[in-house]
Amino acid sequence: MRVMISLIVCLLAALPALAGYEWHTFPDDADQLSLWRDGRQLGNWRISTREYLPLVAPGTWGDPCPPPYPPPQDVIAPGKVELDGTINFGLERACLPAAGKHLLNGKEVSKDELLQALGPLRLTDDSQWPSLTIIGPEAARHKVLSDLQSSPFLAPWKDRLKVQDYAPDHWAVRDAGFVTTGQPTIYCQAPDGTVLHRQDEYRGPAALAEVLRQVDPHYQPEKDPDLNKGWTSIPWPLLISGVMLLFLLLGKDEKR
Amino acid sequence: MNQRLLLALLIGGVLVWWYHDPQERMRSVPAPPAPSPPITPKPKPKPEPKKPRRPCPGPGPCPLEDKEAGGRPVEGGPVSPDGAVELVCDLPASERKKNIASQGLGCCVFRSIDYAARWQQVPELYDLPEQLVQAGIPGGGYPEKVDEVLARFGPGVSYLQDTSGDADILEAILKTGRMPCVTYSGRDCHYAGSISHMVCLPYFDRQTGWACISDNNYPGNSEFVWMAPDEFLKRWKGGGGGWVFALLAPPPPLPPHN
Repeated sequence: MRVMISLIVCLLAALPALAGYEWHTFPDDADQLSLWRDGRQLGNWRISTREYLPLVAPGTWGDPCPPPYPPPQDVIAPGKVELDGTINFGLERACLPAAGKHLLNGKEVSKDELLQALGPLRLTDDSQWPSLTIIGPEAARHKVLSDLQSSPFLAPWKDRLKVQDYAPDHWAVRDAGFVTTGQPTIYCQAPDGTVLHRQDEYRGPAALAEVLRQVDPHYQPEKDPDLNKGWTSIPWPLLISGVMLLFLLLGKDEKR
Repeated sequence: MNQRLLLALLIGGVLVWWYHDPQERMRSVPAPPAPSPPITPKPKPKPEPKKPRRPCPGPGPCPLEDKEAGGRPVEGGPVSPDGAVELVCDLPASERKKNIASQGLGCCVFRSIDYAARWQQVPELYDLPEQLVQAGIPGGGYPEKVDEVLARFGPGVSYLQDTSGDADILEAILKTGRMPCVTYSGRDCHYAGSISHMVCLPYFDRQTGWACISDNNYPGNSEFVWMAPDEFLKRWKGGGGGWVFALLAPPPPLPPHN
């Protein structure tokens, strides 16, 4: 009985000390919680780094330290212990299908379809496609992307390139050796990363199409149709030789 | 007449030559390939200097050193413990946030998708767990819920899911440079017992004999867990797993070189 009473007394004594603390969320930043007591902000807990920063004075933050009041348990430790002792970090095991399924955008397909089909979304084939990477300010990138989607010059390459675009400070290009100062910089790379072409400004869809034609190992320029030219496209030596041949074959024999 | 015929044949021959030769020459219009440099074997990356032994990072057993490990999970960096291979999908640590909970349920599935989205640049799915928190959607994931969440936060985003436990699919995803998100049942240097979890798989190749997971509970740059492919497959399929998710957006380009 004495033990019970002392426990209750301890709890009652501790309550006022803890009762004043409150964790608040930010409507515009889900990564932070703020700790308040008696209407005063004491510090912030950053969820992604699991750090508490005390607010020393308005606008001044102290070094990371343990918070005076623990953050909500579900924020600091997302694992939940299940009945069988398994710690669950976010899988709903009961909802995992018992039988294996292959799903593409939510629809069940065969394994082959998953790996090879669905038009341009081929998983196995595009490892051999060249990469076209556009690096620069958003407006400059947008112009190239828009032309890739809609320009008839670039239509043959629409589903034969791995296209990515990045701002110059994006981690994927910033420290990887790419030139990022173009307006925009456009790289065409072989599947092994070899640079096949680079330009530091956009010269329009026709010029880009010409570049893509030239880096295509299967490209044969002589097969390019030129719909504007008729007989005038025949090279002049060929024309003269043809006329001479006709003259020789059809001309009158002087001896006769 | 014979002289005429000979002349005609000569001109005909010239024409045939004229017709074929320019085509041969025109083929070289795209810059002729530079003479290929002599093939030199890729220098084996220097093994990282051995770290001094440190206290165990979690409740699991301490990480074992290279040979000792015998294929069992070992904590390490972006290069395999024997220095032979490096990650296919090396997402920088600055892009890898920790797992959080939404309404009391963990968001490992959605944090893993966040990693894949950052690797393949699908900005609609960046910070997916935080988006769930803000929308009041509880954590906890399974394939149909992923369909619902992606329909809401990333309509038009293309992706695949597979629950067959087929390792060919993992290799196919990684072969194309994409980041697989996989179920994982723990029992490694971070977890002593069984867990229900989804992590990313930035390396898996049965030929090189290495698999590596990137755990959203341990996102540090030296907290990758390397293991033998068979060891990984046990943990992938353990506890009713064998589920893989991958985005179909293209991966980032390889570093440029001449």
